[in-house]
Amino acid sequence: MGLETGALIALAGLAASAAGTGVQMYSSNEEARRANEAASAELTRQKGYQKQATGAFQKSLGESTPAVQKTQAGEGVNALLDAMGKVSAAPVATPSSVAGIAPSNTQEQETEQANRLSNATAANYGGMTEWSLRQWIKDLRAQQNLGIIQNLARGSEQTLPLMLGQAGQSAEDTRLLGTGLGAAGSALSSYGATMPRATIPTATGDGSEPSGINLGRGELMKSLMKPRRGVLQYNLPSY
Amino acid sequence: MGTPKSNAGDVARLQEANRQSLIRSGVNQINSIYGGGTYGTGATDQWNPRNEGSLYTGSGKTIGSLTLDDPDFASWLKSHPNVNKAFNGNPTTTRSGIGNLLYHMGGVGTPGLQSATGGFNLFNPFGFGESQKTLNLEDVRRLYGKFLGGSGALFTGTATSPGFGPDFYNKRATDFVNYAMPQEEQQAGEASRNLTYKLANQGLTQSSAGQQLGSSLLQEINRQRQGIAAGGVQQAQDLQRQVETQRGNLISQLQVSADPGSATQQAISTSAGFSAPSQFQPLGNLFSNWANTYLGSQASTTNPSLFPYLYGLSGSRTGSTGFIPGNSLVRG
Repeated sequence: MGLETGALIALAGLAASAAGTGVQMYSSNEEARRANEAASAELTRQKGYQKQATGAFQKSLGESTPAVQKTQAGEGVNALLDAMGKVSAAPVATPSSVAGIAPSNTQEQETEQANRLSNATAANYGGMTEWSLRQWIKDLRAQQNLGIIQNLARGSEQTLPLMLGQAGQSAEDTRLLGTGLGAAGSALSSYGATMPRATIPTATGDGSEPSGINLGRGELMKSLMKPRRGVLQYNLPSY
Repeated sequence: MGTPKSNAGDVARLQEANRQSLIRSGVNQINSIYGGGTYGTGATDQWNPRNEGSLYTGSGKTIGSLTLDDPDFASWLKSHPNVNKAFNGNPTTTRSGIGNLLYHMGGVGTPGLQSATGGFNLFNPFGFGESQKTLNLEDVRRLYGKFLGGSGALFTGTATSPGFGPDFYNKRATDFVNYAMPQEEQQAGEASRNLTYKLANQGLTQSSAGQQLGSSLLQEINRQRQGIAAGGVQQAQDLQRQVETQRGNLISQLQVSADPGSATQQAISTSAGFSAPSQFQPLGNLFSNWANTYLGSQASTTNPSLFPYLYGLSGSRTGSTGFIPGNSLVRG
């Protein structure tokens, strides 16, 4: 009876050790899984930021084409011509009103023509500043957008080490359970294997029992090999 | 079991998500003020669900009226995975009172809304004080309102900004023209009178030389008016540069502070400065160059011998090619 108890304890110990190892392996896998999840989630977020940045850049690029330049400069020229037309229409600009002189038709036409040409030249030059301004604003806003996206991406990225650290701790409880089971199993095995000899019946030597192999103290193996009814026996050769 | 564990990763992610929400919200507010639109005023930290109809987001919407069409609200929800999951029908664990106490004894987590997959807690194996629930839109609104209240991004009122658009800049150009034109007209009139006197003194009023000088004055007047028109446009463009630079500065500050309430205040303050009535520098003497060239300025009254040089007259007073191209004077 004593032998059977010891064997059972030892077996339970072995089972507990095995379970502990299994739990520890599980906890390691769990850690790895969560770490992978954290890294994968961060990669997904970074791809999102990258997509946003690409969109911002492409939008800016699309507003820098020659066609856009022509449109913006043209609008600037028209706005300036319009402004010049309005101020030129002020009363003093009538040729006959200057110095009480009544110029000839030819001179009047020449003056008007000269003014018109001068306005057009000035407006053409001034219109370019409108294009330049709009491009500057467009670039500034693109830089702002990219700066914000970069800021968000960097902030997100900085949380990754903490997420990985947390993933490393996530299966701590499970790992401790495994360690505990393993330790308990080892202790049980040791206890079962070192049960006091007095509880082990002496072999009769009547030939009904096979010779045990003396592994270490031998008692465990002997107890395991004791014939029992209904238990499959292995006939080990004697040496 | 119940080993104390760090949840620094979850906390950092939550804080980062909140920071990003605040930056996005602040950028929208700055753009509303500078580009035109409604924005929240009067920041408060007093969130109360019963007042969700009179508490506003930075974009001037009441908390109670928020839907997922609001980009800030939708972005906030998306960046809070636990809330988002619960909103999308996945049960989330809520804890209060004894539930939180037992949860903390287990050494994990923070109070309030937690993931349903937070793990097994030996101190509370049967989930005492915990309940599993999903969130509806009203629940999410209230969580968002609470978040805004704790972040300086909840407001008690709204205002509408006209923003800085083409009309605003055109007005600056018009203001400059309206400021400059009376001065120009006054100086043009003075130059015209001076020319009249000079020509009359020399008996050249009805001469072709007089007509050519009149024409040159008209061209000079036109040139000066070109300058005024271009000056108005330049004023508007300079203002636009200042506005855009200031907007950029505010956005840069917001990225560091993540404080939309403060950004809004600064945006309001700076935008008011741009909207103030324009002040321009005096124009100075617009026709001095023309007068020096064609009228001989004051020298003509003190030194008549310079007249021939100015008007192309030789000492013999016979017709000759004048200083002005194509100007041939014939004494009347």
